[in-house]
Amino acid sequence: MSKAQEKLAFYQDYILQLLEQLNINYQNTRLERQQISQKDVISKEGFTFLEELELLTVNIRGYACQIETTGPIGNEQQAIADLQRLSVFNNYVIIQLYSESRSRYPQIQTYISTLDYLRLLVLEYLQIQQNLRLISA
Amino acid sequence: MKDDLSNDPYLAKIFEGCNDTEIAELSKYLDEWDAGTYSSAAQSVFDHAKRKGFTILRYLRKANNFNKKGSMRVPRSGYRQDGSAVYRKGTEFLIVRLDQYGFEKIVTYGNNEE
Repeated sequence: MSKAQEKLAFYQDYILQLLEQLNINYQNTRLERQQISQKDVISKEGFTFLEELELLTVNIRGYACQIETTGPIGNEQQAIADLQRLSVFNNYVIIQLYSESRSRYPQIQTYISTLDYLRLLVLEYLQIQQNLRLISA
Repeated sequence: MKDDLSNDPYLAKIFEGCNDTEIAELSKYLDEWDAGTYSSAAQSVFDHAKRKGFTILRYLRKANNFNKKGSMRVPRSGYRQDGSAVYRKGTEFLIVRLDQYGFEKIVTYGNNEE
């Protein structure tokens, strides 16, 4: 096994651990989500903060779960472009609540940070995989 | 169904321990779901239920029981730039997107109280 392949295996294991951690983090946000749902925070495109966060969660977790099961992802280039776009800090309504969450919603802040960390790990995994493929071609 | 089960380990996991009636019910609900960035709709549903702390059947029933009638849809017609739309009613919401055949499918179901 090459160093790059070893690194991929390490990333795969770490991504799996983060997916589990995020399940716990998500369940810990329940009370804060109930509080936030009372606020009228709406994105430019009309989704509430919680809806935007849910959609972001699903999009990022989907790619991470593909790595968990199969390793390589089919449409790698598309996945990389998507994950670059999916930064939690590209979303105005999330940024707005994230800064407020430091004092009021610490569980939500932890959840958002961990979710973005997962996104970056998946992105890095795909980039290593892509380089490995280019080298072997 | 046997082919689907061997091709998709998550479908096998979802059906594990279920009787024929439950499998038929689960299959009907799964048809309404979009895989999105997951490898399959079954994997998506499996992951959603685990994160939200429900059994798969309970989670799918909750999503299925969401009544679009009388809900608020955003955008009112069509879809956002990312292809999604949301139906919102009380504390519940259903995010949808068109599949490759132009049918509206569920991406996720959430309840702000849970």
